[in-house]
Amino acid sequence: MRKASGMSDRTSQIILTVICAIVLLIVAYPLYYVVVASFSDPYEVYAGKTFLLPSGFTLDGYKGVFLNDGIVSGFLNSVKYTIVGTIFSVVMLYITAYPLAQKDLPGRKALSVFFLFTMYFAGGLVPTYLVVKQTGLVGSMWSLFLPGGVGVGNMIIVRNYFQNSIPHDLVEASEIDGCSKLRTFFSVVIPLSMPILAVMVVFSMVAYWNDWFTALIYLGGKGPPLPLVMRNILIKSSATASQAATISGGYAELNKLTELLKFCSMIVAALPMLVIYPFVQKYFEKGFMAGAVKG
Amino acid sequence: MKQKIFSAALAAAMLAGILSGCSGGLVNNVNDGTVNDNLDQTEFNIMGGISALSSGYDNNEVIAALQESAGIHITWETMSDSLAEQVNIRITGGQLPDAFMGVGFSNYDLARYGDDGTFLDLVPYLTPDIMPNLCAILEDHPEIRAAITMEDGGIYGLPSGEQMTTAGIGAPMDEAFSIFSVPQYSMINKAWLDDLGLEVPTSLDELHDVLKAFKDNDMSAKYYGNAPGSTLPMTTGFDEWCWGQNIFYAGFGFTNWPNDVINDIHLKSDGTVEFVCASDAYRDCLTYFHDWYAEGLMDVEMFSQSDSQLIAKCQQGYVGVSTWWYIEELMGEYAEDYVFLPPLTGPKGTPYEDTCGVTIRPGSPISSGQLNITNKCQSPINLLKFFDQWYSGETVMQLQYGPIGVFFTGQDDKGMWLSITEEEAQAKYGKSAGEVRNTYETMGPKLILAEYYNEIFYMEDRAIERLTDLDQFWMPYVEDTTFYPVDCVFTGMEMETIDWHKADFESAVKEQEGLWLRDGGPTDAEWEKYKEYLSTKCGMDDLLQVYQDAYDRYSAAE
Repeated sequence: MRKASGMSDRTSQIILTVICAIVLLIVAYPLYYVVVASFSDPYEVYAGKTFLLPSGFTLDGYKGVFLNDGIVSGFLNSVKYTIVGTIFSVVMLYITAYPLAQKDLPGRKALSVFFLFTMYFAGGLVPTYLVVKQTGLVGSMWSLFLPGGVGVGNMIIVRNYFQNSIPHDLVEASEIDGCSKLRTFFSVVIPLSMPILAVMVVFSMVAYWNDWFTALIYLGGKGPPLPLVMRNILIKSSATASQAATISGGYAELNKLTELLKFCSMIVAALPMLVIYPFVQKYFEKGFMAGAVKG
Repeated sequence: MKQKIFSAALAAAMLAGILSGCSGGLVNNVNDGTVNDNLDQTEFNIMGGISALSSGYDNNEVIAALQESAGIHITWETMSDSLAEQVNIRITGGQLPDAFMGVGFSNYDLARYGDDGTFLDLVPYLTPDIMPNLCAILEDHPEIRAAITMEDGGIYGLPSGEQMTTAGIGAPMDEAFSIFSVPQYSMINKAWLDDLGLEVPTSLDELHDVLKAFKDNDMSAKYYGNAPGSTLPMTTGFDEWCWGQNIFYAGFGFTNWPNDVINDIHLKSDGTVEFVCASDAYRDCLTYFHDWYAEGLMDVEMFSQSDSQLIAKCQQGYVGVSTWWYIEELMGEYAEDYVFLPPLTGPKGTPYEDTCGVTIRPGSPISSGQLNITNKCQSPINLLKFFDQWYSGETVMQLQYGPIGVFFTGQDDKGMWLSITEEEAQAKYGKSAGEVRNTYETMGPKLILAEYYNEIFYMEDRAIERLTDLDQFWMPYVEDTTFYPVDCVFTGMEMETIDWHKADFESAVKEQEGLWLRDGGPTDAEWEKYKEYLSTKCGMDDLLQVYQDAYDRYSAAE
């Protein structure tokens, strides 16, 4: 009897491992494929000739990306915007979510509705631009953070975490022991909310790292972040290709570079995030579901 | 109760949004038919599009020289992408520059901004004193003036356009055809045909048998040694500009090229306008080609592939028949094996047996959306004098390609300017001639008339080659050379109708066309339902009326 159950344990172990391996392959192969494609002749990629190894090996794509003057400054700009933006956003999230998590906050319902409303209705591009313009933020890096500083969806997750996962008794106990409200917040609430803090940091970081549209609209070309620099390289190359259609040489040949640049810029832009992810991942699994259930 | 209050608040908020969206439309209307003779302003601010490859207008010696001779200075605010969003933001926000250049406003926008006084009406300024060059051109070409005159009689922008026609290779000016007349050149692998002992097909039935033979013999594997089963007898895009399947529809008497007027429009030689997508020939055509698709002769990816994917397949030698702008570019190193596949006659035993009706695609329009002066400009005369210089052949040549001394190296004995060769460009600038051109090309009101190619500079070699093919090989298959004039002028009401229906109509037709090709042609009931749908939901009848009326006015004016 015992032996049989041991066997079935091992069998299920094997089956589970096989399933996980298949899932891993399904998830990892497309990523791997992009890496391979970034080293291959794009027309051979599209003709279905690449599978595990590059076909028609070339470094032209990476050459095109790294020989661009803007790439280093774009990278530094992105790092700056990501760090400042993430700190700003997380601070804003905490100072809005914590009060809203207090059951005795006057007008709590109305405030919640006020925040929720913005999730469903936005001003639209032009009106928002006009507001940013009139506040004199156009061209300044604060235009990237201030208009969308509080992500309401994230704020609700954090609020729920405060409500459900931090025992009210602990807060009470600290107050009975003589903590001020602020001290409670800094010494009790923040340390207890590390998992959700990590999740919010990652969310904001990824969002700021990938954001190019806000920068395109508000920065007016000053200090472009990495995705915008990448985008310009790509646009430049596809413009060359389409203009080449009418003059000297080949659309087909130049279009090849455009296609290649797409793969390379994906890799270059995603790499920093891929490197950082594993380090915050341990908090991630703990925090991700926390606060997701409304109590 | 609570919910009620909430929804009331919501409604109020939304209403506020709508109201604020509407305000701010009051602009001082400058279009009272008089000339503003102020000459004080010499510093101008111009916003607009620029090629992503340009090195900027501040460094452009052609533009610098033109500014100097006009005695003005321009501050450029240029961008190469997301131009439309930024221009809209500026117009809505009332933060206008003195002029917009290279934006490409549609006639609909022009009428709107002309009407509300955002754009200056240039009619009073089109005098030989202010704009001698342009006036001379408009005198010789009344059709250009007609094309840029809006329905209210105003002209809200300076004309631009490129007339690349067979006149450039010696055809008489009034019988010249645009390089866009037949956008898709179909081509077939002659080496495979020879290998199988087959002739170049002349009818769709013959092509069908040829494609079948390509497939059955797996010619890509057999002849080029590719992987077994890699043969694609025929692959094209779907309703795409120069790489669609539309040329093959000629066997049913029409070729519904995607175009700048509205897709599927056809002007019959008696002057009536029709939509081919509602004709019986169209229905028969899709029913017929579905069989090809079902037999695997047409590529299953034709509906989804991009041009890059098409090129990829062709350059691997997988493909028997395809379409493109030139053979060499699509087929790469296999190009020598391909020849033009002429337009084919319809299937045997049907009314289309002798039909081979290639119809012509309209050329590119004359636009007045490339230079528009706004109500902000204090001294329009100074600015217009600057732009009048653009309307001389040698200047516009330099704005299009690059300065004399850089891109143009000298004149031949006929006085025609010669452009830099590849070798010279590489030796002198370390770039290809195309790249040299790209750094100088200016986006703006460039009017390149067909006669310039005979009098001032030569067309590029590849354009000449394509036009020669068009003239010698393709035009003989075109029996009826009427096409809907791309420069028809529409009234405000008509533009509203077009703006309202055109996108829906085109996408509904295209979607249904694809479904029938893939799944089989329509039954009687489906066909009736489809026509009904186009009429009731997509405004087909209204559109037809609009295009007919506009054409009737156009032909009456001629």
